[in-house]
Amino acid sequence: MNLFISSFKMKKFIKRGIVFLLLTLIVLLSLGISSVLITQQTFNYSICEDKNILIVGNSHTECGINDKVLKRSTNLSKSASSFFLPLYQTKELFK
Amino acid sequence: MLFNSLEFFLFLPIVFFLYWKYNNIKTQNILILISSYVFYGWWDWRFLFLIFMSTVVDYFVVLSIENNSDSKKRKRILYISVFFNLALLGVFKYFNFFIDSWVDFISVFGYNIENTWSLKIILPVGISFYTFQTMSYSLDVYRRELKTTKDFISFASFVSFFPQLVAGPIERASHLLPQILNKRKFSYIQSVEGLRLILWGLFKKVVIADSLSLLVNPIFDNYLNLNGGVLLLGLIYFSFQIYCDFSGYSDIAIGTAKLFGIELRSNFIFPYFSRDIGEFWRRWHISLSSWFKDYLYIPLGGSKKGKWMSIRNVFIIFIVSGFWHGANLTFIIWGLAHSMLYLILSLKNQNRKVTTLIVSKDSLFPSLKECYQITITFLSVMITWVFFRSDSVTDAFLYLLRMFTDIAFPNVYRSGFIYVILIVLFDWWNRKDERKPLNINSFYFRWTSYVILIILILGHSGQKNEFIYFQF
Repeated sequence: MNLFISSFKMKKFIKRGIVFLLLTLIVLLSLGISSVLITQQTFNYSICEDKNILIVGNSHTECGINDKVLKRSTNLSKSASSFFLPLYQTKELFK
Repeated sequence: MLFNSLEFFLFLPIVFFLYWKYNNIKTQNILILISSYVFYGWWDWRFLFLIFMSTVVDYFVVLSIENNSDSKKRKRILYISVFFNLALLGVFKYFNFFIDSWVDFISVFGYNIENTWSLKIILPVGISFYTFQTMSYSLDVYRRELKTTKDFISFASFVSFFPQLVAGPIERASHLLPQILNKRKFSYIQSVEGLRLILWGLFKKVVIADSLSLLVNPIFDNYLNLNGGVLLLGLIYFSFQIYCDFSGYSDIAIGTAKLFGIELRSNFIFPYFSRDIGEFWRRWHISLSSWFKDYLYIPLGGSKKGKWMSIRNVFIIFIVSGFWHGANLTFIIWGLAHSMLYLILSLKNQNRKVTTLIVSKDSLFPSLKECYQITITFLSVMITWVFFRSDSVTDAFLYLLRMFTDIAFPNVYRSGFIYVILIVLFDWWNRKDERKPLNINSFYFRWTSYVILIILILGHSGQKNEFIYFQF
């Protein structure tokens, strides 16, 4: 074990690896936090009061349902959106 | 265990630290063996016995070959190894294909028999790879090109070495076994290069290949309803999907092996920059092409027994190569198509015309002539991929027919082109050494690229797709 840890090259490898992992973690955390903050400030999830049908989902509902034709609906679908986006959107709307 | 799974990224550091902690060959090889069996058993432990059986049979067969000086006896013993490994492949990979083909063939003559012989078995992952690897050991010892080892643990570690166990590169005993038998030293540079290759391989697999698969699958599933332009896009995307998927796996395998002080052979050297089909086959899946060349093409006489024998051998090698990929007529047609392309060059003695390893070594851009050659080669290879990807030969021909007759500007699925441009640019920039991606001089720029790649990989890692070559 001593030989393993005292090896200069291994020490350097582990040290640099840890520094890199920490750096990546910091970048990822700051990206995550800033994206949440930007989303909260930029996007307005409020819907006109005369609309009472909410459409969420991926490209199927995005291309398949036209909310300009269905006057009382709002289509927030987005192609390739993950399972969590509609969940998040709905949560934000009902806050 | 998949390379692009969380389990692997917990498994790898544990094995790495244990490996270098016990810095002696015996313990390291035992650790390689155990970790390789855990790695494989994670998928399905019941198939571990196949690897073990293949290892035991080849170990004892090869010892008997070396102990025998009578050439006839040596040959007979070699057949045991070859037949055993081919029998494994025959039962687990090709049995149902032969039975189904036989039933179909009989039905042509009006005999409709109920197929009750098909086996309900799953194809053991990597069976085509490790059987070929062990066979190369027996063949090398038989040809007296390699000395046998009596160390069973080391031999078993060679057969099951986890970085390349399930999808190659198919290693030669003469290259990998001496590395396993000799003491390894930790090298900082080698390990860093290994990590870079792992990162680069993951980028190719998770970001490029998996994103393109989201476009390729619906295109191939609905090809009858799409215009020719979209079908052309689908084929271009699939060409890059399969390249990034398989070469990404090879990069991760080579990189992982480097972490353990072991060098594996290169499997891909920028095949889409090839200037003719001969060069393409020296750059694509090199470990398999060279296996077939050394153990099939040359023993059959290669190109030295006259024109007709040479043509026959080219056909055999490409058809067998197609059949190796899967028990389906589509793969055989794919092999046949490549043999035709190769024969056009071979008959004019031009299959070894292009031998420079680096394309446009001294200039930033390829010359007009090189651009033309690269484009023609890519288009030829791309058209053959339709047989590789389609479910049946009919589907493949209908796909091509629609692509060439219903010519129109692609109206959907254009977004994938960004991934194609990205990988072409990266590969061109990196073309001088396939084993050293992300080798950027500036420290800050290098680390920034690592972080960007990790973010991209994490951003694209929602779906965990298997590697395409796992099915072979």
